[in-house]
Amino acid sequence: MLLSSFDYHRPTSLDELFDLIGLIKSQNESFSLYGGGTDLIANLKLSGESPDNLISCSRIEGLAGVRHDPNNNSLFIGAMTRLADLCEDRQVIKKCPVIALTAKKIASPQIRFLATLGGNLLVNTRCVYFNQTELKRDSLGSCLKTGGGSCRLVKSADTCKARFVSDLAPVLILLGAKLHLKSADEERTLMLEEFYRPDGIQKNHLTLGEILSFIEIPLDQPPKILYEKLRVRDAVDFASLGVGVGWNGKKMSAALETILIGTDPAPVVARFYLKDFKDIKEMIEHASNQASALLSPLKQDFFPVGYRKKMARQLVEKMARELTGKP
Amino acid sequence: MSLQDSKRYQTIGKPIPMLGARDKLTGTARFTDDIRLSRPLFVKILRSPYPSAHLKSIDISKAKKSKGVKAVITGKDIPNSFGVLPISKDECAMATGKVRYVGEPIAAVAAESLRDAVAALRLIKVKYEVLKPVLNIAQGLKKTKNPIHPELKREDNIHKSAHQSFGDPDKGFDGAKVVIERDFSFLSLSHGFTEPHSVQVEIKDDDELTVYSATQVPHYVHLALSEVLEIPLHKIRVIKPYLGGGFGGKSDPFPHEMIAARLALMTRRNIRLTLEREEVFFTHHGRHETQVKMKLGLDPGKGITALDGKMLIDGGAYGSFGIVTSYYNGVLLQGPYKIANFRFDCDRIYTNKPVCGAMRGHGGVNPRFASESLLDMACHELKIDPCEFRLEHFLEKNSLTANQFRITSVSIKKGLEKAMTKSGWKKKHRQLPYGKGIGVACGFFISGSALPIHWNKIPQSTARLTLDESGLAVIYSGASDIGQGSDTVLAQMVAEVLGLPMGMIKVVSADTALCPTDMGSYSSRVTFMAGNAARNASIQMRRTLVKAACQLLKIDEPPYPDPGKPMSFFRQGQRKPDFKKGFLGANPDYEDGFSFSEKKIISPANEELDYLEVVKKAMEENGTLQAKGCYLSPKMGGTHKGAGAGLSPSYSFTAFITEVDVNPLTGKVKVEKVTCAHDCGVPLNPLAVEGQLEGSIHMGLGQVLMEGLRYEHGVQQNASFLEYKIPSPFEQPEIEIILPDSDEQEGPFGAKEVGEGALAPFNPSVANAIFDAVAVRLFDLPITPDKVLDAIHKNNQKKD
Repeated sequence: MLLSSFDYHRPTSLDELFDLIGLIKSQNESFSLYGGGTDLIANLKLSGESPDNLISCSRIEGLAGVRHDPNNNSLFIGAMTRLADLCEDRQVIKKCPVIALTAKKIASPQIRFLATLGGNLLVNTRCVYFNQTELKRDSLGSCLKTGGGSCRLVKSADTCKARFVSDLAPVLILLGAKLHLKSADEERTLMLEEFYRPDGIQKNHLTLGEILSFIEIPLDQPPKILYEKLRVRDAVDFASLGVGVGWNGKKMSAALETILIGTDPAPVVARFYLKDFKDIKEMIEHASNQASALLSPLKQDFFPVGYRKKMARQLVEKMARELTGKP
Repeated sequence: MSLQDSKRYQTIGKPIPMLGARDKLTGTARFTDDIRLSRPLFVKILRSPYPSAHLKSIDISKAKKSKGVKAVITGKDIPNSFGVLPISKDECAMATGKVRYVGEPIAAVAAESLRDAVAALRLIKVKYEVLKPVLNIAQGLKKTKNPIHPELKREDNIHKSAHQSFGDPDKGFDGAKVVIERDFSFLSLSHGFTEPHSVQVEIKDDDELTVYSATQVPHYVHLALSEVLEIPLHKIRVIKPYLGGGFGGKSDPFPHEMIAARLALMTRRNIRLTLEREEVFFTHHGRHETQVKMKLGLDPGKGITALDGKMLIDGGAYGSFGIVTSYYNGVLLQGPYKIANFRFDCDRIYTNKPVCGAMRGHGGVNPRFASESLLDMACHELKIDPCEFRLEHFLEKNSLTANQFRITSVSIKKGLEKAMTKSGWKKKHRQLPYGKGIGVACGFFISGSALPIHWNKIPQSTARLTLDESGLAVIYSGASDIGQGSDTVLAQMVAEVLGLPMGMIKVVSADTALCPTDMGSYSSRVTFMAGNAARNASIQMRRTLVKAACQLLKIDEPPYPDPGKPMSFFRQGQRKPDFKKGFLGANPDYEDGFSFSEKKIISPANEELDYLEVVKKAMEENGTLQAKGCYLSPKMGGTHKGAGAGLSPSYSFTAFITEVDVNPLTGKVKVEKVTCAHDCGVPLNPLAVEGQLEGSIHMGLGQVLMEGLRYEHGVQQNASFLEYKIPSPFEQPEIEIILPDSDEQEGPFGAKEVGEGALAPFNPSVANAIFDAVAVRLFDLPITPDKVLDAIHKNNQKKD
C-alpha cells in the first residue's frame, strides 16, 4: 500500500531532534517518531494516512548499545538497540539472559534486524478492527481507535480495548526496569511498571515530543524469571498471550509475580506473597486462578477467549512450579 | 522400467536444478511487475465495501478531472462476461448493476502515477442500495426471490448440483461389518503465493496488445481477452514472465487483466497494474469452504463395501472452476481403493463472498480428509491395522474404477509397505506413549484432465523444436512455468532424446505469439501432456538427425517397425487403450539403433559422429531444423452425466505415515515426522519431485493446523500474511520421501503426476495420528489447539 505524503527527517543528535520537534510543533504539524519502523510503517500503510512528518531515530548518536554501570550495578540499554543485537549481546546474555531469550521470541529474524527495544516497549496496541485497511474500515465501520464513535468489541466501552503486545515489557517489569525519558526541556525516569495505561489509544505516559532514551535494569538480586508466548506459529506472530512469571525466593519477602500481555490494553500485573498463603502450592494455585480471572480477552484474536484464559492459568501454574522447584 | 533401469538415461532420473533458479536466487529474474514499459499509466481499482448491494449510481466526473488521470472506467466499459469454463461465464471485469462480494471491482482509474490514481479513486462517488447478503451455505440453500444470479432461474442460490451413483451403495452398507457416518467442515483457503497478481499491457501500432501477466494459463487469458474486449486473437499476445507461485490461484482469466487491456486501448498508453496483498485475498479463487456428510461401510475381507458423500461447497459470488470442483468433490474419492458401491452429491452454493476456484488438489482435498478419517475410525472399531487393510484393497493396475476411470500404473502398495518399514509403523501404532501418535492416509490424483475445458479435438499440448548450426536446441511450448519446473522438465525431454547437456537447450514458453498452444499449468497436466509433446517433438528431430547421420555414414536408414504410422510418436490419443503393449512406449528405445550421447551420435556399428556435423548435414536438406510433437489424451470414460470429470490418462498415488506430538496441556499439535511414499511413475527429476512433495506437505500442514479465511459479515478478517497463518519454517516437519519403483506406459519416460496429489492425504494422516496420540477425533479443519484441548477435556469427562 502507498503511504500518503509526508516530510521525512533523520536527525543525528538529540539536540537536533528536539529543535526539529520544536519547529514542527510551532507550525502546528503532526509528527511521528520511530525506531526500526517495523510497527509504525506497517500500520501507516494499512491506514492509508500519514502524519505530516516522520522522524527516524536511527541516526541519533548514543541511543543504541548496552552498558554495564558497576557503580550501582545496573545495565543500561539504549532504546535504539536492535532486537537482533539484544539477542546476541554478551553482557545481556551474561547478566540478564531472559532478555535475550525473550527478544528471540519476537517476530522473525528479518524484523528483529530492524526493530528496536524502544520500539518494542512502545509497540502499538492491536485489534482486528484497528489493524485493517481503509476498505475494511469502510465496510465494517470504524472503531474508537480509527475515529469512530464506539468500540466494535464492547459497545459500551469508553476506552479502546486493543491488545498490548510487547513481549519485552513483562520481563523488564519483572526485572524492575526504569525508563529514562527525555524531552527538550526535561529528563525524567519512570518505573516501567507505572508507564502503561489501560487504554488502547492513550497507551502510556510518554508525552508528545518526549522520547524514550534508555532503559535501566538493576542487577542486584533479580528474581528468577520465565517468559512464555502463546502464538499460532513459532515465528512472526504477535503474542496471543504472553506470560511472564518472576519468583523472588528470599525468605522474609518471598513473592511470585505474574505479568500477562496479549489480551488487555496494558500488562496485567499481579503479586503474591508467600506469607499470605499456607504454602507454595496454595500460592501457585491462587496465582494461576488469578492469572485467568484478571484477564479480559475479547474476540480479537486467532484463539478463542476461553482458550486464552485457560492457557493463562495453565502456563502460570507450570512456570511457577518450575521457578519454585515445586513440581 | 524401474528406477534402476533409468540409470541408462543421461538426464532423466537425475537431480537437475531448476532452470532459472539462479536468476530467482540472485534477484535478477524479472517477474511481471519488474518489467519496465515506456511511460506506463498506473491503475488502481475501486472495490465494493458491501457484500451485496445495488449500484444506484457511480459518479466518476470528479475523478476524471483529477490530477494525472487519463481514464476512469466502470462496468459498462467492459460489459461482456467471462469465466474460465465456457459453461459458466458469469463474471464481468467490474460490477454492473449489482455488487456481489466485498472487494469486487467497481471502477478503475489509470493515471500518470500510483499516487494520482489513489487520489482519484477517493473522488469516485458510488451510491449503493445495500441488500441482505447471503453469507454462508445454509443461507444459500434457502428459498429466495432474489438469488445472487437470477439468470440461473432458480429460487435458491445453488450454482451446480453434481450427483453420481455406481453399484448399489445401500446394499453395500447392509453388507458391511461396520458403518460409520460423520459430519466434517472445512474453512476456505487462500493459495498464499508469493507474487501478487500483476499485469502490464504494452500497446503498439494498430492497437496490438502485448499482455504480460502473472498467469498459469496464458492460452485462456488470450481467449478471454479476445472475447471480452471483442478484438481478434491475432491482435493480442499474452506472455507470462517469471512467476512467483500459482497453486491454482492464477488459473482463471481475471478482471484486472480485462481492465488493464481495456485501459490500454482507451488511453493508447502502456498500462501497469499490480494487486496489493489484500486485493489478492479478495480476488481469491481459493479452496471452497466445505461441509461434508460422509458414510463409509467396511468389511475387513471385502474392503470398503460402500461410500456415500454429501458435500456442500461455498463457491462465493461467481463460477470460476466451480462446476469442475463440484464433480471433483465426488469423483476423486474413487481411489486409491476399490469401491464398487459409490455415491455422491455435491452442491455448490453461490454466496456474497469472494470467488472460490481451484487450489492444489482441486476439489479432492476435503472429501479425502473425511473418507480417510472414517476409514481410520472403522479400522479402529474392528481392531484391524489400518495399513494392513489398505494394502489389501488398493486399486490394481490396468483396471477400471466403478465410475470408469482407467487405472494404468499403480505402485502404492510397494510405497506403503516401504513407508511402514521406514517409519517403524508396526512398533509404533497404538503403542506410543500418551501425546505421541502415528497415523496413515492414502490418496490418488489425476495427471492432467483428459477432457479439455474447451471442447475440441485440438491436441492439449503441442511443442515445437528447432535446431541450427549452433547446436542450440530451442523448445517452444505454451506450458506455463509457475515455479514448479515446467520449463526444466521440457528441456530434460530434449536433452535426453538428443543426448545434449541441459545447457544446450533453450526453452521458450508461455508466449501465445511464439509458442504452440498449450492449455497451461493446472490439474497437474504439464509433465504428462506438455512433456509428452516435447518428447515426441524430440523424437521426430532425432529421426531427422539419424537420417543425416546415415547419409554421412553412407548407410541405410533404420527400418522403423511401424512405417505406416510415422505420426504415432507425434500425436497420441487416437487409439484405444492396449494394456498389454502400452501406448507408445513410455521409455522408447527410439527404434533406430543409434545412440545419442554427450554431443556424439553413434551408429549401430559404433561409428561416432560429431553432433554438430550431423546437424549441419541435416540442414543441407532442410535449412534450420524444425520438429513438432503433440499430445491428446486417449478416448476413455463412461457415458453417465459428468463422466468426463476426473478422467485422466494416468493417476498418481500417495501414502503418508505421519507422526505427531500433541501437548495435552496446550492442545498444540507438532507434526514431527512425515514418511511420504508417492507413486509418480518414473521421477524424471528427483530434486523437483522432492520439492513438490515437501511443498504439498507444507501446504497441507497449513490447512490441517492453522489456515483458514475468517469472515465477518462477508468481510475477510484476516486478509494479510500476518493474520492468515501459513506455517513458518519452524512448523515444517522432518520429511522422508519414498519413490517406489513405478512406470507409467503413457507418461513421458514413464512419468506421471507429482504437484498436487500428495496434499489431500497428508491432512487426514495428521488427524489420524492425533487420534493415536490423545484418542480424540477432530472433524473440523483447521485443528487448532483450542479444539484439541476441548476434545481432550470432553474425552476425560466421559471417562470420569
